[in-house]
Amino acid sequence: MPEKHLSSQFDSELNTVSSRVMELGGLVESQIHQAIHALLQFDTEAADRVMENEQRVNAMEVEIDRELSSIIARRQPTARDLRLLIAISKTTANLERVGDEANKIARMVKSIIESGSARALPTTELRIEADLASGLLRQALDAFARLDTAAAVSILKDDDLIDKEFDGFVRKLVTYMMEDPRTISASLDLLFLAKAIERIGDHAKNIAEFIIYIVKGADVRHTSMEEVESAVQ
Amino acid sequence: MPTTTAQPSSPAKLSVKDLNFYYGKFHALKGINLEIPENKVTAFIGPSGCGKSTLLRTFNRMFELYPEQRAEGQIVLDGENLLTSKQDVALVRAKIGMVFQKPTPFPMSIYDNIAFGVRLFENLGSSEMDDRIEWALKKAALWTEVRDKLHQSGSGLSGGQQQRLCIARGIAIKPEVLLLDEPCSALDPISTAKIEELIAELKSEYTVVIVTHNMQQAARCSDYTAYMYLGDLIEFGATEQMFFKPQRKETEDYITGRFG
Amino acid sequence: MTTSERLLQANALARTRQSKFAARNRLNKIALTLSLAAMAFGVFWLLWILFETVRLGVGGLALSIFTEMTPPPNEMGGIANAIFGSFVMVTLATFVGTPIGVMAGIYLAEYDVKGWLASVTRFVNDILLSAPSIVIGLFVYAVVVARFKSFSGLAGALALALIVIPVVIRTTENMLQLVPPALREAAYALGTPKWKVILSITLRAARAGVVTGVLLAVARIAGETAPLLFTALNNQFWTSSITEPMASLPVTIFKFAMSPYENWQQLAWAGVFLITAAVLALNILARVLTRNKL
Repeated sequence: MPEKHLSSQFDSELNTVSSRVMELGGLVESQIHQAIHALLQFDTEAADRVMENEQRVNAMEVEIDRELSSIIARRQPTARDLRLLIAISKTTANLERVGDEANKIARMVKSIIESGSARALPTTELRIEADLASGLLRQALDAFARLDTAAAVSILKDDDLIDKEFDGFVRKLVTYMMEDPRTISASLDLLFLAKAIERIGDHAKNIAEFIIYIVKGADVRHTSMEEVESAVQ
Repeated sequence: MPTTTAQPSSPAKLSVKDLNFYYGKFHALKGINLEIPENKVTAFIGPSGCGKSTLLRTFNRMFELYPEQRAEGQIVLDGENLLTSKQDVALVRAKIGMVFQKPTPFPMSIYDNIAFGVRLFENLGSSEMDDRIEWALKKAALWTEVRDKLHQSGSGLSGGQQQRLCIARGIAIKPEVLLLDEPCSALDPISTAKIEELIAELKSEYTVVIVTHNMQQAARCSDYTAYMYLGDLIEFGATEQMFFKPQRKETEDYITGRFG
Repeated sequence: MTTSERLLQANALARTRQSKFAARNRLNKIALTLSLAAMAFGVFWLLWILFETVRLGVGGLALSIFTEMTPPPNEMGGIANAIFGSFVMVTLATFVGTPIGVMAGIYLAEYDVKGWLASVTRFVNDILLSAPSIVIGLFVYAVVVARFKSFSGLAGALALALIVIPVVIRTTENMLQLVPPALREAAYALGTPKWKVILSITLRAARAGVVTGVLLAVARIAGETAPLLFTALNNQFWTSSITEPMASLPVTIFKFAMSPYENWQQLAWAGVFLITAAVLALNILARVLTRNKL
């Protein structure tokens, strides 16, 4: 926010809740990295750590929502402040779900490792998709911190790449399953895993949409890229 | 340059064109252009001294009571410029009623308070007058509270009741436009809420313009809002839009309390 | 700072406060005593006047006061003609002076508030207000009595009216100015023409104050002697014609009190008592009227 409110209390409340969201974002990002590391290195301990931290993610979501309710009740925010708070609420929900996805990834990694057929599966291909997704989330969080609409637009464009990677990976898995039916159950786990990663990309996209909402007051969810670009003009 | 978002969907009841207003040498209103939509509530907001009350009081030519105040420009009501109208100013004021910040009951009974204005313009028989008074008091949501003491003095009522009496007095003469100058600022929250309810009902029959320094009240009550600053009209638009996504930074700064 | 140092400082502060408070208290008591003493002194004299008036006047009160004329020395009689004369002249003066005063007050407060004519009027009014009543009496003598070559009750009423007018102008203007402008604006906003705003709203809101002003003016002229000396003169006998000299209470008291005759002095005191009672009643009435309004 470029300028201060007359009420410095209000300013500090907004700053507090914004930095809590950034904190949550950081936590969720590290969850993803851990989960992907667990997947690529078949590291059960990393997976366990992710599942433990899931509690913290949930607790932070609840806390942020409580702070938001308090601010809205007491301050009757309008215009930009209102949009910021609404967007923070939705962003928090999205981040919590990213945390859930990371948790799912960790659980599936464990189940794959325990099933024993891990080595034979094309987990390295997942790396590309995973890097894209976590990179996108990082960009979204950075853009949110700076309220950078140009970055938001480019994030919206990049989400398509993840979808393409996902589709490619599914085709590969199908080939594997057809070649060796014993790998079907582990392959299905990998499929869900890939889906979880793809969803992370979707959440990053949602966060980018909220940035445009805050800055321009335009709700660009479920619209085409042309409409998004014209809203940002 | 003022920004007008969405043109009001209703036709304009009052059109203000290039209105300039002076207190002696002081240029209080600078080239105001505004369309007040019919049968809607329009709110004027802005910090102290921005000219919102001044603007309101030009509509019914109240400034003419004070020789050092003058207005130039046009205020068009039903096709006629009120400022240059040859019509007696009393007839103008009969079409445009006003309620002030402080409740001002006349020093007479409740009945006479309301009948006073009516008697100026109409010759009603006594039962017709009774009906008119009952109608006005019902419209002002005051009838049930005073029906048994119509002949008691108006000053015996509470602040909120007195203000509703002033509103009843204003609508009894059946104006077309109602001007409310901070009508709730002297009242407690419950009386304020009752009057806001009243405003919501009145707009189906009257065009209402309300000046308020309470932004939440403007947000609650009005359909359109005009933001003024230092004699200029900065922005005018639908209230929903103004409070969700104002066009001008100055408006947003004021509304979000960033005003410095 | 250590705890004991802080404690010492707190104690010292408490002591200073105590001693300063005690000094203020003493000063307060002294001032209170002095002002009570001054008040007692003033009230004492007032009470004594009232007491003497009652003591000396009540004795002479009898029905004959109101029924018989002023007698020659050493004969029984009353002061009926004087009471009647005072009543007539005061009433006439009030009825003449009040409308003029109220309308002028309205002009000053409502029409020409800052204009040069208003300023001049106010200035002249203030002078008249504090003019010695004997000057007014002499003026009326020169203009009316000398011209028509006769003393008359009418001239007396005129002189009294000239005293009423400035008082009523002043109080009317002040009372009208006290009416809040918001009330006037509310009336104008309904489309009320100016004259009706003044008459039905402003004047009505100020009516208690205006009436009080009139009552106080009446109380004042009830006791004025000097203007009547040169205008109404006095009349030993009854007259109901205002073109003839007329008796009045103040002048009669003047004449009787300075005389060596006991019955006259007795009647004079009765007259004093009556005037005082009338003025007291008028003041109380004025107070009752303003009690609720302002």
